Amino acid sequence: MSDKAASQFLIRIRGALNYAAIAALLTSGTALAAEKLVVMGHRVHQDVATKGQGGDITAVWRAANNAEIEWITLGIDPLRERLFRELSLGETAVNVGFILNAQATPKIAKLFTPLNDYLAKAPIANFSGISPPMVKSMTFDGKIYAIPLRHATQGLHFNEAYFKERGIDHPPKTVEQLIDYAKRLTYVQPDGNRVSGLVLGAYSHQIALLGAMGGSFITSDLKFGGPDKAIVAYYQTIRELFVAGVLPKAMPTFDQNTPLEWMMQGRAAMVIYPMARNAQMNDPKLSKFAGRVKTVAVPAAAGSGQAFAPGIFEAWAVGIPLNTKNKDLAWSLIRHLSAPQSTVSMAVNGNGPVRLAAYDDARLQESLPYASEERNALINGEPAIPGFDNAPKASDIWKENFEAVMLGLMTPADAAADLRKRVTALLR
Amino acid sequence: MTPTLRRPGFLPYLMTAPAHLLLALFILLPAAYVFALSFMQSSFGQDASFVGVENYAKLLRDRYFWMSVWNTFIVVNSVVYIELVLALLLTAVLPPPGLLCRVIVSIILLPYAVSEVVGVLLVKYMFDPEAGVVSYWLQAFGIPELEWTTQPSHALVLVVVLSVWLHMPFTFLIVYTARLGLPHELYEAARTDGANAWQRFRQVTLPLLMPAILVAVVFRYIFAFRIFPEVWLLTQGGPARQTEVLAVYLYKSAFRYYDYGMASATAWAMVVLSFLIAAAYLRSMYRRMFVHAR
Repeated sequence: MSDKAASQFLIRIRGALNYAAIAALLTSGTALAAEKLVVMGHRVHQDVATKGQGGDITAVWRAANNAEIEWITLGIDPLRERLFRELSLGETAVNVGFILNAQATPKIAKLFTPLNDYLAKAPIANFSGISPPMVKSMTFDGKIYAIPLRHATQGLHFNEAYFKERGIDHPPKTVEQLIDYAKRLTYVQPDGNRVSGLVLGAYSHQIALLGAMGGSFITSDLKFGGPDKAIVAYYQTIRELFVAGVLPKAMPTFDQNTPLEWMMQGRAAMVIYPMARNAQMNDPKLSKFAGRVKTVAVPAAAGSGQAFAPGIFEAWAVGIPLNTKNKDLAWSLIRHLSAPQSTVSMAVNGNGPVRLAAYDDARLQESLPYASEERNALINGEPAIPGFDNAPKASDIWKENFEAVMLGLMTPADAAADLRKRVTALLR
Repeated sequence: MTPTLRRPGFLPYLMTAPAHLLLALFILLPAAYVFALSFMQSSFGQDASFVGVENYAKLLRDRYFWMSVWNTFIVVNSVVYIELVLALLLTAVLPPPGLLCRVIVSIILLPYAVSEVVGVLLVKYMFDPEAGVVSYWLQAFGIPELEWTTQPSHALVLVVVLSVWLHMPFTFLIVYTARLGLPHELYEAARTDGANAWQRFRQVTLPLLMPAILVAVVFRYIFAFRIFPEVWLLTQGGPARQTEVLAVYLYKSAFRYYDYGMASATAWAMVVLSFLIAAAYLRSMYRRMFVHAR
């Protein structure tokens, strides 16, 4: 290469490097201007906040605060595992974390920032409109550690086509009628499909039926519920339903999603399951019975003076890790997501709204066929299991005794007594 | 004049140092940490505090721990010996090396290529009591069903069957390759002496395969002791915790109850138990392999 060509080549390289440096400066300047908030939650949290007919609820907040949100989404158990490890570090990059009420034990809750001061300085609009039992489930020693944002409340889903086939023209009005229907709806169809009249999957579904029968497992103030008479009657019913073939043999091996699959496949006539799953059960891409699955609140016992059983809920709440930075911006996002209008918009996107008033909105009533039923269930809502340090052990003891009774390994009376003894020891 | 061995210099130690460092970093140090943690009460949201042998005492008082020990003992012994018998049987009946033999060996090894999770879920659906294809054909032929969802003993049987299907190729490989290495002359001599097939197997094959069998048994004991996906994905230790094995018990302590002290104590209990079982076989191996080297 000649000297002239070499120097021209060098000039061009220098010029390109200059342009690259200027471009880097400009873009880095732009990046510095927008703050970033890291939110760790389940995929459904991101979806209801950003997609659907209600629109992207975070867009207004992002524009107003010149901030971007980085979503880290995980399954329920991996989320718990990862978030708790982040909370245990010296410092975490996660600014906002979602937590289930049953996981919010006093020890874990204290890894979040208490929000009382934030509520005082920059309150959430109409904070008292958020379900008080759900707020209470995130409150320890008078301090609120997370704001409820989403609930899953158990309801009764039933297959209308099977009801018609068996000559039943309306959903059960009492829990006694529900049990009777369950027996009538257990049969083998001409094509060999065996239909189970009632399916109960996880502990929250089972506890919802106990609630309908007048019993409770663990109260919100951490006492063993009972009464023992109600629990014994409940266990007797469970054993009876299993021996009659109503509860399927495979039930001890069910995971969280199996009852949903069974309804979609037409293997179950009724399930007690979160009401919001009505959408999936009626999704033509997923369900054999799209449009034929209806949802009502779980009925109460005859003579109880109530039309509906207490709504057994699990609630997701959103909090600010104690060991994070940028807490003011994090609180700003939580305030925005918890505002009444955001609650309605997220509900239209498929979220379970934590405000009763949201159910009065016309858009929600139009998009959710079970809106009034879910509202009814929430009026007397109770957590399936309140958050305390031994909550996972308590739910495992529940599961163990439920299965033992169902399979005849324990008598109902022994199982009820054992449940009281072992769970009371955990509550001390 | 007997040659004397020279003491190794510094260089061999230096050459093996990277491997030892890796072993120390990834096995010894974590094991030591877990051992220390087993004497602590440790969970999220609290500082670890020393509790002495309290975790071990709680473990020994817990009936579910003993139930899981018993279940593990049954499953592990069933799995190891069934696999061994099957591996020996297959080794004995395989045709001589050739195309047919290679095809059959490939089929035998196929389950080893299947992911454990996929295999377990496949079997779970196939054995579904109401809609599974295996349950259907068992009923169609009037064969009693395997009531694994409701009978703990049946569930353990299914766990054993599943584990044998997934892991038998390992035992088979060790035994079969050892068999291929046996000298043909011994079999010719046995035939010449009038030994039939069973006598040749019992008097020639089995004794010569014993070192390989011991290696296979020890390895399978250690691996089978940690059995987890088969139980967790099929029954989660249910119904009513009746099929819980040690690995499931440990998993629950660590990842459901966040009791890391108890989980660590359980882990070390598993190490001690599996060592005790393996010790007998290791001693036998040592006697066979190294005693003549002295």
